[in-house]
Amino acid sequence: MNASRKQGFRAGVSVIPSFIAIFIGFGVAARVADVPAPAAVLLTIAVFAAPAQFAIIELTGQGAAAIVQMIFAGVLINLRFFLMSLTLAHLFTGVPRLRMLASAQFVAASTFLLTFFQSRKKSEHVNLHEFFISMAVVVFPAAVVGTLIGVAFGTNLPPAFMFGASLFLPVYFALLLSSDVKGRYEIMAVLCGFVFTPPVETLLPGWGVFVSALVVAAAITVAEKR
Amino acid sequence: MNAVEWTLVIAGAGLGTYALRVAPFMSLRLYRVGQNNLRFLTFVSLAIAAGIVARSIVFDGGSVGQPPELAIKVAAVLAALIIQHRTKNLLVALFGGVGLAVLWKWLTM
Repeated sequence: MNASRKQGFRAGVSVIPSFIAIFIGFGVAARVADVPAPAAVLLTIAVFAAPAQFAIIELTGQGAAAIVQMIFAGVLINLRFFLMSLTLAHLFTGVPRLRMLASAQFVAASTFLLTFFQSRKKSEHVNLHEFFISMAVVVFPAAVVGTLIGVAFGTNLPPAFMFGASLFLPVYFALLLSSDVKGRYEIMAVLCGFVFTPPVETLLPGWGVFVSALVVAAAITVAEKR
Repeated sequence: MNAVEWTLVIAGAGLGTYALRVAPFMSLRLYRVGQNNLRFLTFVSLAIAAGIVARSIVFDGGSVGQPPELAIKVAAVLAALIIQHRTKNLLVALFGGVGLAVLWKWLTM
């Protein structure tokens, strides 16, 4: 295994507990909403984005009449992936389009952010696409396994275990941010993202992170150009 | 909902999401848009990471979490940051912070 793959694999392993915990949560919610187990697992495989999946199953109570609404809700919540892929397109230079067609499915907040942070380590020469794919190879099955556990026996898992597992992702991102952010404009982006996301999330459930990030980034880009 | 209806939902949401994910890799025009706005995209990425941390700390599922739980989460992040500062080891800091949170939660249950 080369260095890029090894690092990607290691990065993926460190977020496995969070992925399993998040998707156990989805599996439990799917079971409560009477979503058939195969449909819950296939949703994870096809959509691979927990917030959108939660939005979809929340509408199951409305029955078949809500099919179009379910699809639109799922796709709209995932609009952020467009921006993430736009950034990744500049990090994955020289990768054949056919390979990109296959790897695009694995673009998610964690796989994107960990690749983004890796790209900023100028001292380490890492093939970012290999890093990304190696991470996805670990993280994607974790999402499927989490969904299966949630559907099968999610309600029987110890609460302290679930609580701890759900903390791996935010603690990991906090650690990466603390060691990675450079310059006052980047510090402002982090602080504003941190402060504004909870109120925006309260006003626009499911959209807080995306909307806050867009507004904060636009404001700071303008401020930096002045 | 029957199997056909679920297939429609899964296929629709899956393909729609995939289109969003793959479009920037396939279109040169979109690639150039990204190239001209790389600094903006960097700020978006950092704000998303910070937003995920804030949302995970403040919210519990879909609603604002209880203060004792919030305190444990803040302590976990702070402990992890202190351990990282002292040890310079990210994995030790990660497991140290989360371990503290699990212990605290377990003791107060």
